[in-house]
Amino acid sequence: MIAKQYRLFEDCSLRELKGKFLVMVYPKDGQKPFALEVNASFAFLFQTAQRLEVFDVDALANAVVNEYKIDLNRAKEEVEHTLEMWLQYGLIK
Amino acid sequence: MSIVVGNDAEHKLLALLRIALNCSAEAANDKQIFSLSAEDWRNILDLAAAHTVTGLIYAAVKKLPSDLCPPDNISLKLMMEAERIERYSRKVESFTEKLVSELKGASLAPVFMKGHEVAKYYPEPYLRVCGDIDVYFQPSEFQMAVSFFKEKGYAPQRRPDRSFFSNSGPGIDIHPYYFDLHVRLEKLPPVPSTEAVLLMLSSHILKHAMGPGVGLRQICDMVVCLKAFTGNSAESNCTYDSVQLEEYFQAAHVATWNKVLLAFISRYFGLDTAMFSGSVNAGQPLPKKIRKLLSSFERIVFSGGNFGFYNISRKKTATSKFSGKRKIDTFYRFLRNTPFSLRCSPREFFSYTFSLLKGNLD
Repeated sequence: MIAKQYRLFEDCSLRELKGKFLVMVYPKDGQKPFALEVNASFAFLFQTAQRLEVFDVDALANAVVNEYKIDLNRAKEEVEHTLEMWLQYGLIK
Repeated sequence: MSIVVGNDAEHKLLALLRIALNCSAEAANDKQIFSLSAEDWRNILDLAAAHTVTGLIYAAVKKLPSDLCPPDNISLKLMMEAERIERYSRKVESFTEKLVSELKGASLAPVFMKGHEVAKYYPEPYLRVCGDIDVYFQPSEFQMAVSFFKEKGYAPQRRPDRSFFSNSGPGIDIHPYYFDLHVRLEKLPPVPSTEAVLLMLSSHILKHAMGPGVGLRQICDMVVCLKAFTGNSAESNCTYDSVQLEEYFQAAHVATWNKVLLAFISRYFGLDTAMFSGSVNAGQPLPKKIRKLLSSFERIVFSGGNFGFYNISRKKTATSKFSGKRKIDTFYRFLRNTPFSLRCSPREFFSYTFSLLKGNLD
């Protein structure tokens, strides 16, 4: 994947209940809102991305290294994989 | 606390509401109360939806230990519903802020009523299901306010009770009267005031109980206000004059009714209502009259849900092609609740019935 900067799709929210995470996406292009059940690491990345107005692989990978204490290369792999998924789901552009 | 409601789902719903509103004597980790099957949870959530208190159930579930939470598929649906409720509440808040700004720009002083006014006293205000925006204007401003709404394109339509309704946004109910009461204004509390809010909420619940029906959402509004106004809530430091409040209830001829409402709240929400105006002291048996009225009120609340819409006959009116069917259903409910209404407040019953008939014939 070409590393580039991303923005979260205009309107997303994350909700957590007893270790269950739900991302709600509200597309503004006329499509129906949808929900994704996600895991804790996805939720962590999502919350990190929300704090960054514009984000990229490096910004998120550094956050993962600090949080999960893994090496940078592995963090970048995980982040790239997650961002691919987010692109497919339409969470980012 | 004795519970006399009919079925287990109602018991558990009330227990969860008590937790959500921080009224609870039960511990959130009480397995005897909260060890529930998937079917139990479905029944509770169906009932919560009928009473439009699903957001409060979500607030309660957040406080339960993980092993007492609903199964995953139910939790996820609850989360989605809570998300929908909160999102809509925020949308209504934005709409209202814009409306207030416009009204103040036109030198009008709106007084918000009912749910919109009391939401702020909830532990999590955005989880209270929003209905219409109810806004009151002093008599000297009312016609100007209606003209304002017309000029700004809100297209307010006149209703039989002399209020106006606009379909804009979440719906705007424009009221010429703050109280649902037929009493001279000088006998009633000044608006705005905490006494006015309590009297307004109480009489609003009575009016719906007399007619189409009323559910737990409006009663929760009264609960959070009572907690807030007696300094029992972190959300407010308001206080009120209990002696003066009792005089207002007496002057409005709804003192008996208010005793019934407070008995209901004491029984099902565990508040010590002895400190409130006119209530029967905690620990003392209820007078026979109040006990009987309480039983009737319980039937009205638990058979009808939110404004009676839970009742099968009311649901049918929503899909009927005959536009008068709803009015006939409302009339039937008035008739059915007449013994209750007459004993709670005969003056209000006759006045209210007359004004509705007059409004429909105008």
